[in-house]
Amino acid sequence: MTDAFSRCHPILNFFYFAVVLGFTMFIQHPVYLAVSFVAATAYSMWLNGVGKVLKINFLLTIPSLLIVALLNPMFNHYGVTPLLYIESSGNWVTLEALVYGIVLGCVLFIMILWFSCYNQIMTSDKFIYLFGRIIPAMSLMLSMALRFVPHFIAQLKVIRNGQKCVGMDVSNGKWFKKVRYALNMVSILVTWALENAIETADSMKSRGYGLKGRTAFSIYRFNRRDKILGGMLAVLFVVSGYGCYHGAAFSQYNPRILLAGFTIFGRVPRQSCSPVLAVITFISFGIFCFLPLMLDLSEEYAMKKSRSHVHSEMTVTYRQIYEELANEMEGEHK
Amino acid sequence: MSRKKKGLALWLALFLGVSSLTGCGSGNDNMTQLSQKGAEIMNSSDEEQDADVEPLKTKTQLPEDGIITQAQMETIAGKDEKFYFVGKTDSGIGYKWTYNGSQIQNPVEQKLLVQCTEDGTEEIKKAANNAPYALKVTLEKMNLAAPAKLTLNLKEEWNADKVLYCLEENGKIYQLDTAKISTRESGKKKVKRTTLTFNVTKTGGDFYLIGGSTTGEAADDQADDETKDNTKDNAKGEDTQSKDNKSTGSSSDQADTDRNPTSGQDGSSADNSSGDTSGSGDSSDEDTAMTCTFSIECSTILNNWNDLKESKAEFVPADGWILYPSEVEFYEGETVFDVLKRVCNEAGIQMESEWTPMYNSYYVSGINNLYEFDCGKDSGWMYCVNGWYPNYGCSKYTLEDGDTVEWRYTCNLGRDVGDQYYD
Repeated sequence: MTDAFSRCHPILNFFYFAVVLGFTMFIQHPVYLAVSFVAATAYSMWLNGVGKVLKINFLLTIPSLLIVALLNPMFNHYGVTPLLYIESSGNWVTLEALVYGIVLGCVLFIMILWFSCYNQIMTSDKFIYLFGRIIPAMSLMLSMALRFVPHFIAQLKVIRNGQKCVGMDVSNGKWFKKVRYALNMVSILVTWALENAIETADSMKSRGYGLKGRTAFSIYRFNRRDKILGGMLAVLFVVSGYGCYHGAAFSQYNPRILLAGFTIFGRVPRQSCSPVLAVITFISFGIFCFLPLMLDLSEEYAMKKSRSHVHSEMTVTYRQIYEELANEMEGEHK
Repeated sequence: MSRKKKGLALWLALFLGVSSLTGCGSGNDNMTQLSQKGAEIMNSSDEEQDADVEPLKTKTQLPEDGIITQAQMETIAGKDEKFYFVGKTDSGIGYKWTYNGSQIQNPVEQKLLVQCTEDGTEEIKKAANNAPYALKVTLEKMNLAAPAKLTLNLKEEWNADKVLYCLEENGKIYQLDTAKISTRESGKKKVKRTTLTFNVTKTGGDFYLIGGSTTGEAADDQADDETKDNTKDNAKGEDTQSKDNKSTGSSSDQADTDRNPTSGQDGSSADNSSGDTSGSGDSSDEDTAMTCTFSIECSTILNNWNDLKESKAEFVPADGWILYPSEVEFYEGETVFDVLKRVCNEAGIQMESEWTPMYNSYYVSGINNLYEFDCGKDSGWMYCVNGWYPNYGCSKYTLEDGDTVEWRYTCNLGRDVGDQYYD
């Protein structure tokens, strides 16, 4: 909770991620994906650290991107540019399917980056705060489901440590015993999970979760900064949404590749959009994506500025004191 | 620890992504609609398989209700042999159904009861340029297990040189097939009677046999036709007697084997190989060069233009024909799918198919970039051979010389292209 955006009202956080994820998913125009990619990478690096993001991307996401990109042309054969004939089924591997596979892989990649930011900003208490009263059961279930895997892994570690102490870990014994120990651990884990789910539900019920008139503990206030930020987000969203509706980000990969603003194999999209609107849409979408990062950076900058000021004043004072003390000490010694 | 967590979450997301990708790409749900047909048939056949059924003989007398059960049909499915079902209408007209066992892949119950009447055919006669003969044939609603041939032994003689098998719809008459005419002499008095044979590809409702002479209106001309017919039939009659060892001497069998030599359409290889030389024109060198008429069309889209995806509009030809009917050579044992594959490849037409283990066949999802569901939720590609829409996949249908294969795009689960399965 160090960055400025996560201290904003949860509704702004949620709105931002909903829009950004939605645009990335449904607008598959390469230029917009590039903007989304740069923004997601920058924000993810800002929140999670450069090294970690790079490591995960190179080890997991890029290979999976390649797999997805190659899977699509293997199973889909639409398109007008044949590349390779498959004798048995009479299908062609087409350029269009290959390109769409790459685009889909990129979408997946960018979505993962955005979700790594989402997990940092939209904590489960924020989610419950937003939706706990409108859809109590659903929001509790969602927040439980979202933390299910990390929770499970943490508990598995606890169980494994316990089993290790009694010499029944997977690393003990021969392979038959190993399997038995592993299955035993799984059994413990499942039992715990079932019990835990009931316990959570019971404890939430005993606290009156979802009852009428119950207030949620929250320290969120929709203040002036939230109003300004919310207004900006809303305006940018409306502008870019309007532009996309009018074809500024039109993209089609099946059966022919058509992209707004590009001429591909001598063809342009049927629905044409004025270049001015296209540029405005592009810029507003870019600003929208970068807004939290800009907020963070500006806050960081302001903080640094004032901190450096404080730091310099303090150092001067203390240095003087220390120097004086040191001088005195030296004088005494001599 | 946290890195591990993240890794697992990532793999989970990846898995979801990949599965959704393949799901929306070529989708299993895509296939459910049109191919449901096959599934239903398969399920029901499994249920009834263990019931003990007497295998059908080459010639079967139809029961009173005219129903041949699915289990009975199963006993002849895939056999390279012809099977006959014989019955008599209430008005005394004998009829005989002929099924080719090799064309039955998905046996379904057959309701083979036929009723014939001349009542109410006056209007039809009038509509068909005052044709002298007409007969209403009523067939029960069913799904044909294979294209069947129906032979009617009329009680009187028709002095006609052309008999059309027609369907009447909204006051218009559509020709389904041209019946083959032959005359037999039966009884002690040697009364001449007409036998009509035609292919049935539709069932359920009233059909009409309209007979007349095409050469002229005068009575003299008709008389000429009569003699012509007789000579022709006599010549053929000799052939059939010497060849067909299945023939029990009954008049109905004679009619069946009596084939018009000029039409190669129904010359099945199974029959020809048994030494039938009566149709000397069509059975000459079929091992080397066999041809079929092949066409691909999507004219139904033109009537449902509003349902069509905008991006696919450019792939619909103005007249609906992607491939005009053309003679295509093929080799012994090739299926409809093999020919489609080759034709599309040679003509540069895009085509996509998926192997579907459930139906043990390839499923053609798109031709010329027009895919299933591109023109409404009930749209997709269907194939029909000689007017019949098989109830099994296109890579299970082995072609025979002279077959007419039509690939047609439907926007309404086959109803708009003449398939009756979902009626």
